[in-house]
Amino acid sequence: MSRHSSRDPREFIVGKYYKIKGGDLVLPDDFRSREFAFQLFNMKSYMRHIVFESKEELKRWILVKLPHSAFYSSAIYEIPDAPTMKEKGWSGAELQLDIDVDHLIECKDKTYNPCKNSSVGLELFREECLEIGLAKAYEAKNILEKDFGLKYIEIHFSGNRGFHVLVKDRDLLLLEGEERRELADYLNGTGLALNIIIPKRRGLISQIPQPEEPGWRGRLARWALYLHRKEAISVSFEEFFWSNLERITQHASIETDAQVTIDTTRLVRIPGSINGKSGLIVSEVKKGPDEEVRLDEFSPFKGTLKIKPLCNMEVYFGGNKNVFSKNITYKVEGNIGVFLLFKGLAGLVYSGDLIV
Amino acid sequence: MKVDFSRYPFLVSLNDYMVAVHKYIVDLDSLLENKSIVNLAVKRIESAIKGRIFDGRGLSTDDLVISFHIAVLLIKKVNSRWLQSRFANFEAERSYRFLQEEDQRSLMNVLRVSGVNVDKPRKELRILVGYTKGGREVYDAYDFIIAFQGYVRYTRRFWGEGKWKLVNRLVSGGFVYIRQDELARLGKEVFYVKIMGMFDEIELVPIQTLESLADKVKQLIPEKYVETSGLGGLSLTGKTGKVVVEALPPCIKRIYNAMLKGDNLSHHERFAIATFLLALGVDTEYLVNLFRNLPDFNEKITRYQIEHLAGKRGSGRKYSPYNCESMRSRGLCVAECGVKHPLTYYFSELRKLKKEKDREKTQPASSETRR
Ligand code: SF4
Repeated sequence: MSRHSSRDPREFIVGKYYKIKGGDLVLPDDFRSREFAFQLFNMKSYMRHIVFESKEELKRWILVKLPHSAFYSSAIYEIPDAPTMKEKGWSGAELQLDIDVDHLIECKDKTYNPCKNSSVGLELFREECLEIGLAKAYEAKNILEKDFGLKYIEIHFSGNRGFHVLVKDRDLLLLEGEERRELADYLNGTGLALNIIIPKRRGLISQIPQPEEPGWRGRLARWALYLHRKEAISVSFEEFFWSNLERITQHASIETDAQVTIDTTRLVRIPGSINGKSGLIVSEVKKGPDEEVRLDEFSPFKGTLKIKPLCNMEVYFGGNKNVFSKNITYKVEGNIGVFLLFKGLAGLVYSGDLIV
Repeated sequence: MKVDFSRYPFLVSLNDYMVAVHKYIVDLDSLLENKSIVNLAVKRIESAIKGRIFDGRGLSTDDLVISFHIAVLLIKKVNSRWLQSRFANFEAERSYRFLQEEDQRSLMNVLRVSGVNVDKPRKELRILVGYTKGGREVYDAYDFIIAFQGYVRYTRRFWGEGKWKLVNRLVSGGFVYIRQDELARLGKEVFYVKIMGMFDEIELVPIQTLESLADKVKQLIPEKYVETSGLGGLSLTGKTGKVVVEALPPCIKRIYNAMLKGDNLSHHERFAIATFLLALGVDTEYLVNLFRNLPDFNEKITRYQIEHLAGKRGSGRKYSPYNCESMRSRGLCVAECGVKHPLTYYFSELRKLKKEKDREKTQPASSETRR
């Protein structure tokens, strides 16, 4: 490290990772029609409009640049390395949903500032939020399959705050931004008008929706059944439904970031790449919706790291609450060490024993 | 199953029609020599301008199909966005009247020929919505399904009305359930888009008669909709003269284009473009007309809101347009222009364009005129 004193120590760790795992980056079959983009450490702007002919070429590039973050475009272009959108020739884009776990209502009370009584401010979330977020991602996938008949859907951990649901079905590629917003709104329940989907008409005693019905009617009925059962309330289902409609709706909403979905020129983090905001790996999630998920699963680092925390802190990581005091040198496991370093919560003392 | 082209003339190209019916390729020159058919075409345009649906009763299919296509050519030549949209609107309205009378099979057929993926559900969907006081069951029935991609494409101008938003629809397996009257309404929109698309697609051949006819049509357009071509493109007239579209900053231009397309704008987008254009001195009338494209347009409300922003109502305070930072924080900034305010961008761009123009002027006349 001393030789590269001008380099950020995180670059060294990134290099260590890619030297071994650089071949594990997962690219779409049509990667030659995508624009690649990179963010380097300590640089605000992105390097953009880059194309690669082969995976090897990409790996070589990454080993030289040691990027903070690596992306390819959700869009497919005729000339992906052209400098302007016009010249690129947009010919479609995959659909992307973004679920930030710390924005979910169910997770609101599970975010925290790891630094106690300090000006170092930062918001982290407890690991339970990952399960909540993953369940939402699966729920979205489910709706996209059932209601929209879509088939090629992947769920990725973004490497930092949540999950991306990527829809690769070809007959979605040409949807325009505003049309994509309708899909996002459908998932999120934005603009949902209960008086339209459960009509109240004069002289009519309204019937509550049935779970097998299509659209939001069915979705509400299924969630109502689930909540009624779970909360084991003694009131009748019908009564429960009418008096908790708002809460049921809230549970049934996905809460994706519509701004991401409507963007047809979005950048997608490359699965298998390292997210420089956390030192965790962007990866497709294979676990089911009810399984426990923890942050350490997404760290490739083993061995140990010597670090010096920048504040007195408590950090939830790997299923534990980890407590550290400011300015004391700790020898910690590689996964949490890298996480604290990349989060800017600790300084590096020694990284010679870190293993990938 | 055949489509009646006298009702839906945009579903066939002039050439295909002539070949199919008369077995010869269309000769535009001689068609344009045919006074009665040309007059019919002009009448068709005139109806639209006056806000009336063209009444073609008693005319032959030939007359109706050919006059429609000649009208399209003429309008293309005139090159007025307002006239294009106006004509497309009233022609779509005309065909819509027929569409509403079609039986289920031909309704579906017309829409399929228009490129809409519509079908009957395997089983008609009946939703039990409630009971009468007497205990009788009441159902809503849906006769058709339409692929969701087409649904969102063609309903975008209706989203202001909640019942058209996808979130309030019954959706399953990639299809949206839709009632017959709704399907016809959607059809009208498909027609509108189709006709507008024709203006983009057709290529004009230089024919002398076409030029002079187009001049005649131009005379018919009301003064306030005549677009003055400022610095080589579409410009907008305002109190202080013109707003030059080419000089608009990327953020405002994006909103402007979305508006022309009839996209549903967010509240912030509306505020941003209205205050920006007001700052350039356009009048309420102009803005109201621009907002007319929006799916949820309501003239009274729009006028009120614009006057409010212009400081002509309420507190009398004039709202100033967002600066770049405010644009950015609302997700409306789309480029890095190196300025602090979109207005700065506009004025410096305007100066640049002027300079270019002056340079062109002072350059020696082209070889053609010099001979
Ligand atoms: S930098 Fe300013 S002028 Fe340029 S796009 Fe952003 S908001 Fe508009």
